[in-house]
Amino acid sequence: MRGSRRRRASHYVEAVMADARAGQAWDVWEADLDILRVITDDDPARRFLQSTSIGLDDRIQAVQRAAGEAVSTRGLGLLRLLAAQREIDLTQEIARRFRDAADEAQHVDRVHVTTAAALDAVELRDLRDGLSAPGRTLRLTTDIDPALLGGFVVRRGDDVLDLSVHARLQALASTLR
Amino acid sequence: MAISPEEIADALRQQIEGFQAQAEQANVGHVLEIGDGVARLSGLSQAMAGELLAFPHDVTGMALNLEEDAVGAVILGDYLQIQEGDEARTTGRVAEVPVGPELLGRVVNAIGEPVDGKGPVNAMRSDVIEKVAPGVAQRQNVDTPVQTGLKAIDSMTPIGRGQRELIIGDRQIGKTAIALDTIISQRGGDLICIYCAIGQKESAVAQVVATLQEAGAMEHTIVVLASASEPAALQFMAPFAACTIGEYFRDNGQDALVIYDDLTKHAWAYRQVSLVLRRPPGREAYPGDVFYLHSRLLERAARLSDEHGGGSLTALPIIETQEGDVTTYIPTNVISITDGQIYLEADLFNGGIRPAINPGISVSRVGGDAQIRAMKSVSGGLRLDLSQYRDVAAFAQFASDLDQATRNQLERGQRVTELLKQGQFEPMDVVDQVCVIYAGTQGLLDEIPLVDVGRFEQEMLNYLRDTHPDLLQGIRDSADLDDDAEATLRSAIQDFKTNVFAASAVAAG
Repeated sequence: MRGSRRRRASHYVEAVMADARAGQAWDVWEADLDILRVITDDDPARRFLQSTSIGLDDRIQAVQRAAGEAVSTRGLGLLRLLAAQREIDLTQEIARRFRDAADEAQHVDRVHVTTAAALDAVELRDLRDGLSAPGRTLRLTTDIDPALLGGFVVRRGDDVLDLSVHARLQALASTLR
Repeated sequence: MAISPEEIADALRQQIEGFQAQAEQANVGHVLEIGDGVARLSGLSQAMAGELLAFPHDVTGMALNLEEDAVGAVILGDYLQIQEGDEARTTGRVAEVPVGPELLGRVVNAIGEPVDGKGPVNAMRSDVIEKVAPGVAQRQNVDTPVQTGLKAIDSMTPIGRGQRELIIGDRQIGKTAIALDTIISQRGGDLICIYCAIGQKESAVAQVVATLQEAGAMEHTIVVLASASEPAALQFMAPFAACTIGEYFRDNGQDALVIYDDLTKHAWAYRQVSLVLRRPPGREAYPGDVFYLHSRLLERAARLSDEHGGGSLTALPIIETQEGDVTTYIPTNVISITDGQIYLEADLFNGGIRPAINPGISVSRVGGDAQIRAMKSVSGGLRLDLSQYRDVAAFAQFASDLDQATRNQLERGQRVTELLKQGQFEPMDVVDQVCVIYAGTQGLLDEIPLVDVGRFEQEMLNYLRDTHPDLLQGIRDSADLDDDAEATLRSAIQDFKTNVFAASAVAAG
C-alpha cells in the first residue's frame, strides 16, 4: 500500500532536507523545486513526464534541455526518481513542504506586504525594521494593490495583519449594518 | 412614527464618530474544494475547532475538521457564492446565538437570526452554542413537575423540571402534538418553552407557530427553525442553539423547556455533514461520535442547585421510528441517554386512543418525584389497572365465558383507557386531572356506559367547579389530597353521578 499522499511527500522532503543540510544547498534546492513546481503545474508537461510510452531517460533529458542550467543535477535526480516512482503529482506538495521546512531550519521569516501605493526607501527600511525579529532572517516581498485605498496588509504564512483603509471601511460598514 | 432624514443622519454620524477600527489580525486559508455545503481549505493553521470562518460575500463557515495541512469547514450560508481559491479568515469567535427574554415570541434560525419578519431581535447578549454541561456539584434532584396537561403523561410518566424525557414513535401519530400540548399547557405559568424544529417542512413549522399563536402560547415560547431546505450544517447546529437559548433562562434561575423535533433528522444532518467531511462512516453510515453528539446535547438539561440559582432546563427530544422499531441505532442511543421515554404506538392511534401512549413501555425514571402529592396519591393504581387490563384483554379475545373478577378488570380498564383519551390542544389543569383520575381508579365510573365516559368527565368537572370550588382550590394550594379532601371529592363525585348525571341521562333518553 502506498500510504497517504502527505506521508509519501514527507519522505521525499526529509531526503531533500538531509541533502540540503549536508551540502548547505538550501538555495539550490529551493530554486530547483520552484522550477519543478512550475513544470509539473503545466498539464502537457506533467502528462509528458508521466508518460509510459517514452523512456525515462528521454523524458528527463528533454526537461534538462528545456530548463538548461536552471535545474541542477540534484533537481533532475529528484525528478527522475519521482517519474520512476510515478509520483510526479507529489512535486507541488514536496516543493511547498520543503520551503516551510527549510525556512524553519534556517530561521527565515517570509513576509509579504501589500500596500496601496509604492513605498519609498525610507518607508521600506522602517517596515523592514518593524518586521524583523531578533535571531531570524527576514525575507520581505512587496506588491501594490490600489484597492486597499491606504495603509497596508502584512502576510506571514497563514497570518494576516490588515491595516488597510479598505478593511476599516468594511468594518465600519458591517457596524452600520 | 416615521423617522426623519435628519435623525437617520444623526444616528449614522454618531455611529461613525464612535467607531474605532481595530487592526484586523487573522489566520487565513484558501478554498481547495467546495460542495454540498462543506469546504476544504488549505492554510488556517491556527484555526480552532468550532471557530467561525469569514468567507467572501459575508458568508460564514465553521471549522469542524482540523487536519495537519487542511481544514474542513461547514458553510452556514449560501455556499454557491464561494469559489475555489477564495480566501477564508479566522474570526476568533466560535458559533454564538443571541440569548435573553427579547427572543420570546420570536422565530429564529440556527444562528439566531429572525425569520418571522418581525424585525431585529435586539437581544442584549449572545452565548456560544457548544457548552459543557453542568457538573454533578452544580445539580440537584429533579423534584418539580412539568405539567404537560396530558392525563396519560402527568399521571403515569410524569416529567420533572430538569429531566430528559424522550417522545418516540412512528410518523404522524402525535409526537409533535404532545410537545405542543405541553407548551400550550404552560400559559400563565413560569416555564419558558423553546421549540426547535429540525429538518421539517417550513409549512409544518408555520402551522406549529400558528397553532401556538392561536392558543396564546407564543408569549412564553421561542421557535428555533432549521428547515429541510436549509443546509445540513444549520440543521446540525439548531438544537445546540436552542439549548443555549434555554440555558440562559436556566442559568438565571428560571425554568425552561426545550423540545428537539426531531433528533432523527438531526442525526441525518450530522451524518451528511460528516460524510461530506470524509469522516469515517460507522453503523448505518453514521459517524463514530453520533452518540456523543446527542449525549452532550441532552446532558445540558439539568436542575441546578440552589447555590447556582435553582433554575432548570428540561429536554423533550423527539425520535421518529420506522414501523415501530425502536431497536435501530439512533433510537437506542437516545433511549439510553434520556431519563425515560413516552412511547407512541400506531395501533393505538389508529384505534382512536389519542394521545396514543403505550403505558406499558413508557417510563419516567424520575417518576413520582416529579408529581404533586395529590397526583401521586390518585395515580398509584392507574398503571397497575391498565397493565392488568392489557393482560386480561389479550386472553379475553379467546375466552367465551369470563368470571366476574375478570369482567370487572376489563370494565375498569376500558373506562380508564377511555378516560385517558384527550383531544389535541386541550391540555387539562392538574387539579382537574386529579379529580378525573381519582374517579377512574376508585371505580366511580364502573357503572357509567363506556360511550358516556367522556361526557361524564366533562360534566363532572363542570359540576365540581360550580359546586365545590373550595375543594379544587384547596387541592391546588396544598398540592395534596388529604383524607378530608378525598372524602369530600368522593362524595361530590357520587353526588354528581347519582343526582346529576343519572338524571340527565334519564332526561336524554
